[in-house]
Amino acid sequence: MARNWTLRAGAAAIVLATAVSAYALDAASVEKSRHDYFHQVGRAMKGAGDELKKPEPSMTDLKAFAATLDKLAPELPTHFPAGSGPDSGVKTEAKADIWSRPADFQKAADAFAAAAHGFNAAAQTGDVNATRTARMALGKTCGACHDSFRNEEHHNH
Amino acid sequence: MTRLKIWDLPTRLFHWALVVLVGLAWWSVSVRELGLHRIFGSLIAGLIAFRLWWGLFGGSTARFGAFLKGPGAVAAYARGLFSPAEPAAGHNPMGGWSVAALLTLLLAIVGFGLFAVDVDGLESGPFSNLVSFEVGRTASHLHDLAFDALKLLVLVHLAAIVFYTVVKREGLIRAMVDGKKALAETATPLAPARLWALLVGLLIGAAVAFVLIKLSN
Repeated sequence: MARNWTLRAGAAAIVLATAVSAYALDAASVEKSRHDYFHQVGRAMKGAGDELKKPEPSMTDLKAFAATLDKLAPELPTHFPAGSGPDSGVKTEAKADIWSRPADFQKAADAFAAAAHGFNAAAQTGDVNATRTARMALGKTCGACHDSFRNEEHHNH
Repeated sequence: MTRLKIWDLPTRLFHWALVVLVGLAWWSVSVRELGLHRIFGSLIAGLIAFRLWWGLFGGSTARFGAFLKGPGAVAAYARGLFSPAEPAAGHNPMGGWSVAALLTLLLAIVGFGLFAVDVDGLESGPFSNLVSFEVGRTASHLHDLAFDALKLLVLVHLAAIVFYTVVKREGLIRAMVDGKKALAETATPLAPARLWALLVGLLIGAAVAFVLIKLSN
């Protein structure tokens, strides 16, 4: 019987350790795909900005960047599943507020998605000035959300 | 002792304009006025360009060749730092390298800033369209890092001024305002630069600032 207990305790410990490490691994991989996601957003924003800086911006390219952002923006909340915050031990710039104030976070994410949709709509009309204005409005929603829900990074990448 | 002219007007104007513009650049980025930040950065780039030219063709005390001394001279000066000595008619051997380090950091800050991209991909330096988002982000981090180093060096600079004012009783601040410093009668005063050198320097500085401001919009 004693041996049986040791076995059971050992097995339980292994199961627990596996669960814990699987959980930790999960937060790390969520953080990585989240990071990649925001890089995609950043690339499209920069791409549109670079285009708008040119004397004669290509509307074709602007439309493509805007469509990308319109497609990416609504998936933002899916990159913040419960357990992927700073409490998970993973190195992240995401603040715990994302999960402690879910309604506010959702509101900020909705504003981002709406502005990205507005940006796409403006770009599809082919009007450069309207596209420029809509991109700045979209950028404001990035900043507004970062103010509340993202820690300043410190020279890491 | 007599008050001799050691800093020419362009060197003094450069110094104080730099203080004001670095302050404004810091303020503008902290209130997220990146449009203003790019203008202040461009003006700083113009100032640096002018100062590099002035280091070759400016007044005698502003020239790199006059104030960048070898390790022997620097070590000798450092050893005698706490003993009474004739005040330097310009940068002393340690101060000269501090100026070189400050200029190098400013050059790095401006250089990285030209390619920097913010985290949202929204705001960026005038040459950021030549690099990827990722390279632009790295440039932005290096821009920050070099500014942190600059802040440290400015603290050292201010501490040195306090040291020279309190311990060595040299009026460094006043000298940077009116250009004159109390020196031995036998000290070598400033040999001013030629007018053409000033005009060319101003033209270079203005051109750099103008082009960068243009490209920033």
